[in-house]
Formats: sequence, C-alpha cells, structure tokens
Amino acid sequence: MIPPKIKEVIKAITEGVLIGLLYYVVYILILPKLLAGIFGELKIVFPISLRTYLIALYLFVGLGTATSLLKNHPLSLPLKLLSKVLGALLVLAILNFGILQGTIPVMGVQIDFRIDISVLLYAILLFSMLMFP
Amino acid sequence: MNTLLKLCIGLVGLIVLYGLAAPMVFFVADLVRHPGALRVEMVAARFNESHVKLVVTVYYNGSVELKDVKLTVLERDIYFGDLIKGSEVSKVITLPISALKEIGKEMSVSFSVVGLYPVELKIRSGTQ
Repeated sequence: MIPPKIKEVIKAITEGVLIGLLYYVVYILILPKLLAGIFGELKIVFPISLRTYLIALYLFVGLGTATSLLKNHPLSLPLKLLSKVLGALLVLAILNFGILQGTIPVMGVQIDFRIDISVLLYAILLFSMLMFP
Repeated sequence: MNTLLKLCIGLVGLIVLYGLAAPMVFFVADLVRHPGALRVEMVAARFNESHVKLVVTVYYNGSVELKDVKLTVLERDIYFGDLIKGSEVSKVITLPISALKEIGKEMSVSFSVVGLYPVELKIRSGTQ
C-alpha cells in the first residue's frame, strides 16, 4: 500500500511531466512546422539542433514538474510565470524572433527575402500563455 | 479559471489570431499562385546627352494592401506609397547613361503587408 502523501507526489510529478510535454509538443514540434507550412512555397527551414530539442525538453518538463510539485506553495506563481516566459523566449529564439529569411529563384533571378512575422508570433505566444495551464 | 471565461478568451483569441495571420497567408498565396501579382517595370528614354529618364512602374494585383512600398535602385529610394488591388503607380527618375547597365544587377523592394509584416525583397541577377 502506497502512502497517500507519496501518491500525491507521484500524481504531481506525472501531471508536471505531462504539462511539460504538452508545451514541448505544441511549441517546439508543432509551431515551427505550422509556420513552415504556412510559408510552404518559400521553403523555410528552422534549423533546430538536437541539443536545442533536448534543452527545450528538459526545460519544459523540469519547470512543469517543479510548478506542479509546488502547486500550493507561494513559489508556484513566480515559477509558473518563469516557466511561461522561458518557454516563450526559447520558442522565439528557435523561430529567429519571427524573422524569416531565405532565397528563392524566380524566372532565373535570385530573390533574397526577409519577412518579419514577429507580431503574429507574439500574439500566438500570448494566446497560448492565457489558454494553457 | 471559469470554464466559460476561458472558452470566451479562447474564441476571441482564435478570431484575433485568424485576423492577424490571414493577410500574410493571403499575400503569400497570391504571390505563389500569380507570381506577376507584384510586378515592377522600367522603361528608359534619353533625357539629354549624359542622362536618361527612367520610368519605374509598379503593378499590384494581390488581395491585401501593401503599405509604404519602396524600391531601391542604384542606392536611390523611390517611394510608391500604399498599394491596393489593381494599383499601378509610376515614378520618373533621371540617371546617368553609364548607370543603366547596373540597374538590373541589384535592386530591392520593401513594404509591409497591411502595415503589420515588414517584407524586404532583394533581387539579384547574373549571380547564383
């Protein structure tokens, strides 16, 4: 028989890991693919290294777990905010702060493009911060 | 948070996000479907012995408004203002005859899609 206190801790850790994974999947896996899909014809690639993927995973899961474990502690609110701000900064860094750049050949001419979609990116992040736990 | 309030925020947020994303998506779709939706034409005519008159015309037939359209040719900025569907704006500049050869090599166009998304296009020809 597992004591109820340990059960609570295990539940909090599981919840934190799941929330961290949810952030990871939405921000690191889905959002860059979604943006690359919108601008599909421009063949935009966000160069994310394996190391960045791992750092993002540790960060989101770690902060998610800490927030969940300290749910009833006064530290939980700043930790939650910190987790969201760090997550947003990481996403912005991965997406080059919303600056899309590249070169496309059109009718024998090379066109270098630079598109600033930071407004849209900030709106997506703000929206997700309000909506996600 | 109250579920109903969250639902309302979600709905409003989605509408706002759609409103923000739609112009950029439509602009890219327009350019992909019709590459001639934004077109620049230049016609040169002799002005005097040493200079030519260059008529630069920008045609735009996309569905979203482009603001502050600027063309830079040979380090000279030419402003075309705001362009909407069906716009055709011409500007005249004078250039030394010797500069004519350099015109097509590099020029850039900058504007912002509905004033929200700054775009800069640098056109290079003759180099890969």
